[in-house]
Amino acid sequence: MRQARRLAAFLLLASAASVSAVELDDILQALLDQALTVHITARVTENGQETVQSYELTRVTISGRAVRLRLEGGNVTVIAEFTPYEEDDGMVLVAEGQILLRRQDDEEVQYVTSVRSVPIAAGERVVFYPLGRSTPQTEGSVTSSDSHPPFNIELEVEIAPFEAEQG
Amino acid sequence: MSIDPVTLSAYLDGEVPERFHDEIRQELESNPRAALMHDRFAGLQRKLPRLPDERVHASAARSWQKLQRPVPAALPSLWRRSVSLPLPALAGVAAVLVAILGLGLWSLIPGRQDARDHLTAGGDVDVTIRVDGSNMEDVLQWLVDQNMLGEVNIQLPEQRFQIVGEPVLLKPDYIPEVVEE
Repeated sequence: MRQARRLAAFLLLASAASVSAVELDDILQALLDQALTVHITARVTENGQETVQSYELTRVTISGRAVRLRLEGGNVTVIAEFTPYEEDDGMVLVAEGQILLRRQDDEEVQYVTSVRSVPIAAGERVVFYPLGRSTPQTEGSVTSSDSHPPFNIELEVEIAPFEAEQG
Repeated sequence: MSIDPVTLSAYLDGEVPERFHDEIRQELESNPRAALMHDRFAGLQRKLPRLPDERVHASAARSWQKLQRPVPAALPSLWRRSVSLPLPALAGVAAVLVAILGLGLWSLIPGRQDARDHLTAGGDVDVTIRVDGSNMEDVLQWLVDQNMLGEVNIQLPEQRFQIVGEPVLLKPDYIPEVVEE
């Protein structure tokens, strides 16, 4: 009876040890094989042409896992999520935008949410305009700030397979 | 002779031998205190009802019969009873219990899945890596190095922004140029 107990305990410990030793390596390797690099350039443009501010960042993700950005300043908060989905015949990028905008009278907050998707190839760039796309202003035109706001936000996204650094 | 209350009470109950009766009567005639005590006891005796003798004898007989009945021995407590089992049967039962317990523990071990199953199951992937303490630091450092943790916050300039239209997701190569006439 005592020997039977020892045998059962030994078998349980052996199986548990084997599971934990292999699982980590398998998962990490699978992560590396499936990982994607998401390079984002966030720009604040003036009059649709001139770049006032620019931010570049790179994140590593996997298919189905979103990269999330939060841009705050002035009277706006923009939350943008980019999720790549790898399929058999290519890749699809889903962009989701949430905008909280305080109106000029400061008495009303506008909330807008949107989802856009586009097929994309590795290394191909796409640009997301969460506030819409303003047309470039011609030189010398006279416009009011309300009808043609000078500042806009562009989010340029490029997705490529993840490559581990050498050395 | 002086008479005490116990003797006087026994005298009234007829429990004093007859040879002492003359002496007691002389005492009662010569001793006013003894006579007063005698009168009090006699009055008390008259007030108390006396049971018929046959009832007393019958009650005594019933009590004696009960005392003579055999009293059954008390059963030992359930937990203090001794149980005899043959040793081979006991060993067999114990072996079966250990086998059942071992099978139960074995069935609780989670099945091993292929690593890709973690990544492809469902549309929204959430990878959970179970590691022991020695590997956790390496995993966390790897995730930090790959910038996989945390949300990115960007501070915009303090300007007024406005929604100019529907959100747009475009490929720069396909953005049509605005041709002004």
